[in-house]
Amino acid sequence: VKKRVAITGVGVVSSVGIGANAFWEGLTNGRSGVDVIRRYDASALPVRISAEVRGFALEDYVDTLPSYTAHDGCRAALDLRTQYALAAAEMCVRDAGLFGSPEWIDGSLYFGAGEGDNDIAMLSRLLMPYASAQPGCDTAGLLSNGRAQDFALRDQLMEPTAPASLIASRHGIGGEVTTCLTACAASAQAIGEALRRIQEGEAVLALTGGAHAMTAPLDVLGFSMLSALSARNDDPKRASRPFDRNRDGFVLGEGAGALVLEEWEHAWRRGAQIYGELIGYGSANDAYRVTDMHPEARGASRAIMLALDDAEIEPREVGYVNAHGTSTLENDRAETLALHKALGDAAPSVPVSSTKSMTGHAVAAAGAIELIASVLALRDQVLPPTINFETRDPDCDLDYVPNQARAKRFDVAVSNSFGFGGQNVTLVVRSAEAHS
Amino acid sequence: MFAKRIVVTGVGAMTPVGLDAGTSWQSLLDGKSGVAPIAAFEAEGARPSYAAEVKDFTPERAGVPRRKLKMMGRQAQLAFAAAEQACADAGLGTEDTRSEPARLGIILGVGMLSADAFELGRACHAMAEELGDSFETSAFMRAAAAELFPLWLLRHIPNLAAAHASIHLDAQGPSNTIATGCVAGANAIGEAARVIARGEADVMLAGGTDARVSPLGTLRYRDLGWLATREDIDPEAVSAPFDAEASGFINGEGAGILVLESLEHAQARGARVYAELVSYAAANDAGDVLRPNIEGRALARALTLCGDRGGIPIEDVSAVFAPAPSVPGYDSAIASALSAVLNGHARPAVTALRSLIGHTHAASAAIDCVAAMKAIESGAVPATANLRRPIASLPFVTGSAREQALPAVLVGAYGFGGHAAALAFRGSAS
Repeated sequence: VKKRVAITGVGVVSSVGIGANAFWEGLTNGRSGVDVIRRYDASALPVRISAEVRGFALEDYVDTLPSYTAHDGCRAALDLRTQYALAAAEMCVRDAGLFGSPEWIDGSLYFGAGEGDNDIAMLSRLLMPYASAQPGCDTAGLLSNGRAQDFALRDQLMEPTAPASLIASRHGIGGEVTTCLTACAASAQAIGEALRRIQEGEAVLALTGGAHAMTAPLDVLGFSMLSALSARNDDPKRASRPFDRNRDGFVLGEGAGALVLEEWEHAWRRGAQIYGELIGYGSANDAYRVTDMHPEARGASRAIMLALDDAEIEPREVGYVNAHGTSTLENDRAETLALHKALGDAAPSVPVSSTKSMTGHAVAAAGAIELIASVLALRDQVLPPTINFETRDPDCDLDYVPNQARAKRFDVAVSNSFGFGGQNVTLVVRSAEAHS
Repeated sequence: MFAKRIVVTGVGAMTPVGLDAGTSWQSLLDGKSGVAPIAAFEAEGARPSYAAEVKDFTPERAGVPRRKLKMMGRQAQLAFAAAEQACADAGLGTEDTRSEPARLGIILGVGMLSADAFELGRACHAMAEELGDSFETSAFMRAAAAELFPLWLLRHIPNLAAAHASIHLDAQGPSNTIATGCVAGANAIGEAARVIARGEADVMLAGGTDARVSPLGTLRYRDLGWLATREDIDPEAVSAPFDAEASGFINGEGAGILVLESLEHAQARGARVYAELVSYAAANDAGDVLRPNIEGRALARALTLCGDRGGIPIEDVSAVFAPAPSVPGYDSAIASALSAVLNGHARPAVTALRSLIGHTHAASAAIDCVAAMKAIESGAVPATANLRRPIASLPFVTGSAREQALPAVLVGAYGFGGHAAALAFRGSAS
């Protein structure tokens, strides 16, 4: 028998706000986190806008850093992705009232995280003495001379699993600690897999979510080269416009989202606050192309159907969909089709919004940030809007909650996350009240 | 442990000692080392000047479509070849034998590729022409935009290794990419078994792939103090797991993939069965992420849990594939964990394949699993090379391969981030 799973803590770092309250206040007021890039000089880049987290300092959230001592005792600056992850984890563990709990030693951690960003100034210092026009690097020279311990430590801590490992160290999580990296679906997939661990009795407590900061110069350049990004450099606040006819690509964002999942009876016995019940997870693969979605949305539609089946929910019971909604021509059209296929006759009456219109696309962190948005929507019975929705696209014919938050009584929310490589994940969450 | 019985019906491997599982296995039995001077880039006079690379690998011969090569990183190419082999080995290699697309999935453990020293070096050179010795983000990025291959990001996105394989095999079922460093291949296999046990797929490809023999990857591990740099002895003698002379690991690369399926599915199609995967466990040190717990706490916990879950008393374990990388701190933590788990009386054959193939990172545990399948099939355990003065009193296989029946085998994994995992296999699925 599957165990029931409660969400008892949330933590979020996003361009719209840091902490669940600021984040939710921003979303419901339609505030965009997109702006011109301020962290570095982006003048040489084809795209000069992103959704950066502003006003963040790790020590405001985490007073003791977890352990990561190199052999000679040296420490490096943690990359932004890891800092966001540590802060979001700290917030959600405290929010759940489980900070310092000895139960974490048997707890589970499943995180969806990307790699840390390359420090191009450091790389440039390292490579410059050996650089050439062709082949580019005197590798024998690079590897015969010098020491590069600052580079070595920073590069090692860029590993996708560094945030999860440091969170495990910080909170004493000694059970299964896993990092998955399935592109834009990663943190949704991590949450789904953490759900399974509790449902199947592998753990009573699980910390889950994800972090990513693909806003560094090489990231922006890399996605520009794939023609995936909006080029509205002169109008950043209106650049991310999911489902709008004049959308032209996504806006890179960054941040972290973390949740505590807990076996329902355990949460209830200790009198924990319960945000909602995680009831469904579906995962399916397009097996079509590495960057394009399947034109008939075969993986995406199946992920939604699998998640609804898993949740034992009928399409007409779905009260809100937090869309993947990236603001690319392709995704928003295919996602609309997937929702039609999966929800059938119920689709036109289900409100669908994309909070990426405000947060930008936080890649591996997006699924976790958006599940938190869905959970807060359930708690407050308010749907966050899709901002910048101005012109209807004939291929996007659903109710996208345009521009204004909307009050609605509902019990079940669905959150979609689709990624490069044809990864499709859907999560289903139900309000705590509906359970009792 | 699993709600359904899970069996292994196919294996594929690309290793420093062979371009398929059979050749690699024979090399391991013969004690052939894969360590040699670095071929991927100019390394004469470098520290180190050697690595354990996959040799003579031509993607075209491995069936990788030429038009896709440019957007595939080497780790994706190795995985593609190993996945193709594993499917063929399982009798699922042709379109009419393949299982239903929605019931076929893939989970790979994958590593992180360091930045490309050549592309960024050219960008540095161009920036220096403009600015001399100073650094400016705008100048660097202007140069980088001109020097970088337009699709470079696609080579670096970790989950595209699984994506390329899934497209080729039309695997539309559950797909995941696990990035837990040196333990990733073991996590991938354990999680794939759970997917089948839940009924979410009939057949899963599971394993790991990694290719970090690059200039910056090598520099990273060397200056973390983990890589061996000895030049005073033959490179083939440098990797010495569990030996008092161990001085660091050899940077390796490769891929290992298993075909897992439910026993009933395997029986229904009359598949040959290598072994039953009976249990999986994982744990974390929850301590310093850059150093192992001195007693290998997480590894001991994972091995013990795995044995308990599989109903295999430690006395019944016939062989242990140990993750000792030839890094003194890790080797001694792993030896401590094994000593605690074997509890003074169990005498399984203990071996460390990293003595011959170096540390293949996210692929390492998966390659160990492929070797374990071959070991069960042929009734032999390869020796740990270069083990002359053991740091612990454990039943190591040294000298030459040991012939013995292998009814129960444990594969352990342990590494950066305090991650540990264990998998238990039974030789007979009857």
